[in-house]
Amino acid sequence: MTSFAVDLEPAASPRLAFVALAVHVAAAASPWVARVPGGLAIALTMASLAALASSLAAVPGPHHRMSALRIDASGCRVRLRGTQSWQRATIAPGSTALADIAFLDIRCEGRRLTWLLTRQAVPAGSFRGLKARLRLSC
Amino acid sequence: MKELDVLLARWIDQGWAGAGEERRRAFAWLLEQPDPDIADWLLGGARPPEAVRAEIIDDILRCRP
Repeated sequence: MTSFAVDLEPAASPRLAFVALAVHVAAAASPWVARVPGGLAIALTMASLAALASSLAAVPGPHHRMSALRIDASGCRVRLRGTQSWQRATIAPGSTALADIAFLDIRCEGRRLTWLLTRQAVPAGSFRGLKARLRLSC
Repeated sequence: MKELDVLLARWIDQGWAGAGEERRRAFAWLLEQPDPDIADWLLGGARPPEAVRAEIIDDILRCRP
């Protein structure tokens, strides 16, 4: 047994999406609150809003291209939304897990797919398994 | 629970590489158990039902910070 299987099919995370939205809006507003000079404030606000799109794209939900992920001894596979077949994928080194949230950076068929998973989005055992699996990959 | 995460992560770092098949299977089984049970075994001094599963608990508790 070189590894153990991890199956993830996260539930939609509207609360996480709201938190991401709030953080980015706060970041976008902060240059104006801090009275940063106009040009720089515009640039920082635009950067915050541009990053919002990628943050929301990583939140699990019906909009996400990836519906499930399986990691086992034969590697990593993802199931894309609307399909029943599994595609080979790899977990990029940028993937990381903290106490209650994990960031998964997946490469599949030349595409980059990201998932921001809270502990509540998947069964507790799956989240623990994911954390262990990511730690073993380091 | 953060304490459980720390203990489990410590065993992954210190114990996984040298563990045999049976011990690894016991660890995979442990990951699937409910938080309160794992907390009882790792923090509360309770023993899991089977000997092989008790051994992984002992192993985890032996890991040093």
